[in-house]
Amino acid sequence: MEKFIQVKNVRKVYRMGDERVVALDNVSLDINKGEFVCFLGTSGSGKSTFLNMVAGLEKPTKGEIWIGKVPIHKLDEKRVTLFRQKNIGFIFQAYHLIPSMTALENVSLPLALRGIPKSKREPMAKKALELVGLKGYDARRPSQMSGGQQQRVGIARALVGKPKILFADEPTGNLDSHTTKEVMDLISSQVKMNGQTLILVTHDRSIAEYADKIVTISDGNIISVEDRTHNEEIIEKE
Amino acid sequence: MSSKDILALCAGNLLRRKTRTVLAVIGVIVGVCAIVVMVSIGVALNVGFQDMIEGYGNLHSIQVYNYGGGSTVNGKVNKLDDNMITTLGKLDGVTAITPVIEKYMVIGIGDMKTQASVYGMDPKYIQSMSYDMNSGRSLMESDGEANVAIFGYNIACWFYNPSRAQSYDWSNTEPTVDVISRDIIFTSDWTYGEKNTGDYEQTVEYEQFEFEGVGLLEGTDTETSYQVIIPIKAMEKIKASDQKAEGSQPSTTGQKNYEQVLIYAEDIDKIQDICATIKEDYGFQTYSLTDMLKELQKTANLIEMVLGGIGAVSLLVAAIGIANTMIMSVYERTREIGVMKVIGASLGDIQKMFLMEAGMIGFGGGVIGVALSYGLSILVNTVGAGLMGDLIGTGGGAKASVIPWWLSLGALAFATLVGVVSGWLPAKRAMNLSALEGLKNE
Repeated sequence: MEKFIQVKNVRKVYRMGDERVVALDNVSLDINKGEFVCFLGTSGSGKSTFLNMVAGLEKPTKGEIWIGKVPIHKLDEKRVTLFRQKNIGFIFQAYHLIPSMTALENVSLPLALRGIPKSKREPMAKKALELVGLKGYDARRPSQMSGGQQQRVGIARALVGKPKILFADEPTGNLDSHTTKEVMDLISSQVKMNGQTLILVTHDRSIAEYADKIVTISDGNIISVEDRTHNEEIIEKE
Repeated sequence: MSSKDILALCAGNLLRRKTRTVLAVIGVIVGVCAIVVMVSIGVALNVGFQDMIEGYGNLHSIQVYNYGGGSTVNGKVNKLDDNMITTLGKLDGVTAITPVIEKYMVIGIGDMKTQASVYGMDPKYIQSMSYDMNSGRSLMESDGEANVAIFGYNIACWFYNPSRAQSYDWSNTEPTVDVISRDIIFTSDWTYGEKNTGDYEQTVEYEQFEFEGVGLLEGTDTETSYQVIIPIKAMEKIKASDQKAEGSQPSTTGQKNYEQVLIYAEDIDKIQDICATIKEDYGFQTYSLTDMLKELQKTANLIEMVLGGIGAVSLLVAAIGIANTMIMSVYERTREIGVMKVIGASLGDIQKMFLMEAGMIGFGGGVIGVALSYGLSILVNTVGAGLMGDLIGTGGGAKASVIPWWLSLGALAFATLVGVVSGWLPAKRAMNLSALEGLKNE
């Protein structure tokens, strides 16, 4: 398998006043193309920090992050934004839809940010909404939809630009168990269908069951990597 | 992100916070109205001065005087003679030039007569002035030394029959004779046409000159409406004859030395320079209404600036209002800005979004403010009608508020600029906002 995302000896230290907090100690990990990787860990374990750094939202204090042949850790703000626009989709725990925009406008937003004209992006957004089962919800505003529906809009927004990588930070954290299953089925089937790489962060073991690879993280270190496609072998780390 | 999309986004955001937007816009409206109305009063003052001065005479003309018969510059005595007129005529900006000989004379048409200041001037100069004529024609270069005259309108109203009246009637506004006539007498004999009562003994026998009236000038109560103009050569003949009659020696010593010369300048802006050159290089006194107007306008401009400054203070307050609104908006939309950044909004997009939003408040307020200012201007002119006239002494006709196109356009541009500048700090804040912090904000 092709190594798509390479994280090499990444360390992240936050400065909080005089105190220094080590969010990630020394993390290395390879993620293959089309893989569904789940990061499992309690809050404060450093899993979100890891995700943010791979997405280029934060810079590592030390270490290297490569996506394909792109050194994410070296890109300036402008380039990393452009890279994110074209290659990365986001799904958030709190959906983070723009309240003033309709479902259609929310889904179109990433395309609008890329400078795609309205006449082109709206059919694309409509299709994406259809794909997540929200046909006919175009004109609804976030306040007029249930949590599950809002998250589906969020998923449509993440998928509409056909990104190579999808990041999901606790995508079901605000949903009940029934909706959680629906949403997880939707996400996993979509990424499999499109051959996208999915990096999902959660503290919920049952969600991790969907993943190809489960990375357990604690106190800024990777505890274990469980590859479920290859004989369920478990690599235990110290 | 395309500007069109950003614009739509901004409009949506402004409409979302209607009350706040409206309040910020009202601030701008008040500011713009204050500036426009205040400055319009200053402009009205300026226009009033100009009207007043124009009433006094021609803004294009410069009078050059030669008091005391000659001026001394660097030890050289300058005479206001024909050579000097040629020299002055070549100065940059001078369109036409003429010497002037003035004489108060009696003019008779049939059994009507009047007294008036008669001006001998170069017909070529008069022609280039292209006066508006009520009837007949103006003097032309081809008139040469001929005994022809053009009359100011007021003069034509002041002919009276000496056997019926003692003097002319000032209040007359209709011509009492047709001045376009072949039988006109010009003379320095004050008793012309009067019955010899014997009270007054005629000692000098003045010659009577036959003139033809060729034109009546348009316009009452202006500089020219009180003048009778004849070719200067004709005037010189009259003067020589009168001097002979009076027994005084005509000044035949070489070149004539005129007391007054008139200069016409097409370009008003050059008048100050021409005056300065004549004063400094040739040592003659000059008088021009434009010179005077420039001084008055300096005062008016100062008043305009002070008034505009007062108005600007209220726009400053409005600017603070916009900045406040936008900063509130950044706080409120922290999460939204974070999301936008994460899903691919560049810093430039974020900045444009906030600057444009602030600019729209400024522009919107500017448009309404300017429109409202026109209404206020009408109100000021209705309520304050005559006030301005009394203030600068031109009578009731002057407007108290005048909004020229540059003022409304300028105010609109300024309001938009104020909006954009007020949005700068909030935009900066939004740009510096960490995407992650934004997302944590629940």
